[in-house]
Amino acid sequence: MNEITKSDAPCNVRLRDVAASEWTKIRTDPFLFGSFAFALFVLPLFAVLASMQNVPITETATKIGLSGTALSYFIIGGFGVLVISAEYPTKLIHLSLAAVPRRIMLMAAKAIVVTTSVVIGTVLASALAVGATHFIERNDHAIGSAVPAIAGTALAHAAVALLGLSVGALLRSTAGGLVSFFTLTLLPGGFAQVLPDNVQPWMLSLAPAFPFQALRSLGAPTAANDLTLLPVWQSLATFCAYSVILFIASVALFVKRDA
Amino acid sequence: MDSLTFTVHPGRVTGFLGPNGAGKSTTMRTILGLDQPTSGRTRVLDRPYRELTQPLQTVGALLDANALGTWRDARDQLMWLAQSNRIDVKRIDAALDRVGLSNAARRPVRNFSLGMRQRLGIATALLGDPPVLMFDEPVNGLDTEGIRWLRALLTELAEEGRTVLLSSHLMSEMELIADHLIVIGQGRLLADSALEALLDEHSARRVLVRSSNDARLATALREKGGRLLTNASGGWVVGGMSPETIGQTALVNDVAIVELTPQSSSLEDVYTKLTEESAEYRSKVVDK
Repeated sequence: MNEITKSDAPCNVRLRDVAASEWTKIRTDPFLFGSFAFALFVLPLFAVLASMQNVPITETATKIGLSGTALSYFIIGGFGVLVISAEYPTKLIHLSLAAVPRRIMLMAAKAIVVTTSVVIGTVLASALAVGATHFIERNDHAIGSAVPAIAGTALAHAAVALLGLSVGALLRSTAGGLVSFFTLTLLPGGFAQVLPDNVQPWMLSLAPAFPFQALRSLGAPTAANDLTLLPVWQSLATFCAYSVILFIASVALFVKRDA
Repeated sequence: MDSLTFTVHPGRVTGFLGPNGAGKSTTMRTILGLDQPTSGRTRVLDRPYRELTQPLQTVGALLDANALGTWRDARDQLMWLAQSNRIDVKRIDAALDRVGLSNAARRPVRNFSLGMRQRLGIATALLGDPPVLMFDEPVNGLDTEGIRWLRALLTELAEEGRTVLLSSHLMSEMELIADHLIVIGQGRLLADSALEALLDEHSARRVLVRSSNDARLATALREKGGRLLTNASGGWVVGGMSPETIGQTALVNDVAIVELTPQSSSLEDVYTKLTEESAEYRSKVVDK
């Protein structure tokens, strides 16, 4: 039996150990790891499929290679939601908090593991996707600026996963988290179309500031004439800001609420 | 919970007793810092749970066996817990071995029966080899052999000097396992005493007596102040007298005793009495 000292010894639970433990949780749950792996698998899969199509010669291999991002964003966002929401129906969250009573540390560990694994995974999957496209299309298409595109894609995926994690922590329900996450993706594009004519321009003028509209422009850098889209890096920064703000809000509520 | 104050001491199995909805699980969740009380505080070894430097090595808790219903296998389930608190990986096999799940270590927990999940939950609690253990309804889902095993394990853990708090709504099981009892009803403390003392204090002391001449003995016992009730299978049930006094009275009156059995109340009887008293008290307070 452990001899527990009553001294004010520093906490034995360290962020890096909690992060390692959170990665083990993801790695050993077939559904969690499956959604993570599937999101990444989509990138090279779409790259190969897109390379087989008749693509305009003006498109770069990088752009063709990253055509799977439209789908992978959704899946990686769902993965982010699941990382925390899946702990609620089974009350596994009680066990997590018994092991790591410092709630900010638990959320920080989850955020670190989710964003780091997504960045590393996306860089590898994107590089594979762009590499495969270049290999197939090398005679017809220039490679384009692969490094910033892959870096941006990886960062955007991490921000989407963090947003998913935040939504999952706020709603504490997988179904609610996923529905809310997907509803965010439809704003304002799908929503604006059904609004009265006099409201539509106003809605569209706000559009670039909506999270997923910001994200959309990452995948459509050539659509310079679309007023609902911001320049690429500005969009990415906007989206990251949304994710971070929502994450801070979710942590504040996570600390305050009963588990 | 309402003004609930109690202390759980090491070296014995303390039963935490109350009906469904009495506040047992809420109390345990509050001890672990999962729920915040509107007022008041909980301490483990003089510290709030959130400030423990080694949470899993200090308190081992089984709150809900279904919390383990994941696709992860049993060993991985203990692995992430061990990593989070820097517990030696060797403890995983030791804990699984102690609850008899070594052979199921690589099976997905989702396919476990409720009894196996209870065992895994107990392994989770034992993982950090903590001096304080809390089990919420660990008997649920265990078969007869499992209950016997749990009883032996809890006694062993208490003998090792650990503090063991065990909740249950099953009085008969608690009577067999616990040394000390904390009884709550509607979130209030009804009793906090040793099992034997609680039974003695609240039992109606009665003795079943059958003799060679029940009528003569009855007259003599009434003269001595005994309260007699007829017994369906013959003889009398005597209240307000010890077996010794009854025996001596029989001897003096030349009556041969055929049977002399003290009848103690079961924990269930005592519990019913306690809760009735609490309900009466409450209704009086409300009436005022």
